[in-house]
Amino acid sequence: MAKPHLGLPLVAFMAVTSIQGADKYHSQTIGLQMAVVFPTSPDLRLTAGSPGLLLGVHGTWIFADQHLLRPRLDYTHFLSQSQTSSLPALTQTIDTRVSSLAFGFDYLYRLSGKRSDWALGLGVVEIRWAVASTNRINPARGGSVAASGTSHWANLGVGPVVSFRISDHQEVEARLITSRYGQEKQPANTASIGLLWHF
Amino acid sequence: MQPDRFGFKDPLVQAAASVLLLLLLACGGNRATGDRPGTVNQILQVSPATATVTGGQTQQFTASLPWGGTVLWSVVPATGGSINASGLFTASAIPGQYSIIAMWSGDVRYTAMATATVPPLTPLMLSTPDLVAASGRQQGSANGQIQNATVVGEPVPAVQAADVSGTVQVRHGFKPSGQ
Repeated sequence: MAKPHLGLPLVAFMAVTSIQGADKYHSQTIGLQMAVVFPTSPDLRLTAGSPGLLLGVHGTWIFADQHLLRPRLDYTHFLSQSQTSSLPALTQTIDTRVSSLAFGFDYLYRLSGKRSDWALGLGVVEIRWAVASTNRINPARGGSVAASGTSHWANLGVGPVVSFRISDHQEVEARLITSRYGQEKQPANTASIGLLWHF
Repeated sequence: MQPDRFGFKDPLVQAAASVLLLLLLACGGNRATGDRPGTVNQILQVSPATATVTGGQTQQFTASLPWGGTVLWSVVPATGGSINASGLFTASAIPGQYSIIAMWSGDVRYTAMATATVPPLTPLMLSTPDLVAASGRQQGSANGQIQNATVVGEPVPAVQAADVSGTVQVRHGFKPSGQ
């Protein structure tokens, strides 16, 4: 499956912009982020179940007074989910555990100047989805069978980002990411609210 | 005049706000997919859907799905026989109805099911001309097997039995001492 690679152009862009913005206040920072992630599309909600936890690292490059670029790497883990369906011929139970690894960047625009606390922007990430599944079948005529496996898909995710700087080293952000996952490319949308620490 | 504190008159901000609104509206539909419980045979399918296989005989099952790849085969209950990685089912001697289940190896949630029926063995026929000569001593037992039959040319009763494939086996009878 051919997938777009964001890594090389992103690194080149960051290198150029970080040199340009090197004399600005806090032009470059690195940091960590943590967030609660809510699956918002129906299929992902069924498969992932409850909200997940996101942990990640990021960098921030200010390349003009109000313009920021934030490369980031996020790992999200959702708790396991179990679904059961009973048909006349069989009962089927599928246990799933969804996780994702996303690499990309946010473009952010400070709404009222360089020192503005509010920023609005767009996030673009390449997401590698993983769904670990156990499928149990109990036919009505007796017996049972189960199989387990983990499936992976990589798809692009995009969405808006809103952030509020609560101090020089802390920032709150809300993100919506719309993506696709699964063999049938089901919508995989998430909403998250998180805290970023800049060092 | 109110100052534009958040920069909403900036075209860039307006564009970003429009993107935000569009993405909020595009929250994704809920369509039926084959990776949910209860969607057996929706995407992955097995043919034939039903088959009658005599004990000891084989039946080839084939799985098809849009993406290709291999499937994991199972016979449920396992007493119904065995099935190899290619989908070749070999029936056991135990009559009954069995489920042939396939799960796609790429995502085990995609499932298909077929039914294999193993019929009871047919009782032997008494009228097989080259086997049995009526001697007045042959009898049918409760399980359908013939007892005390004689084979033409044999001076003593022969013993016969049928294996799981229905093949009749005939052996020389035991000759009692003094005869």
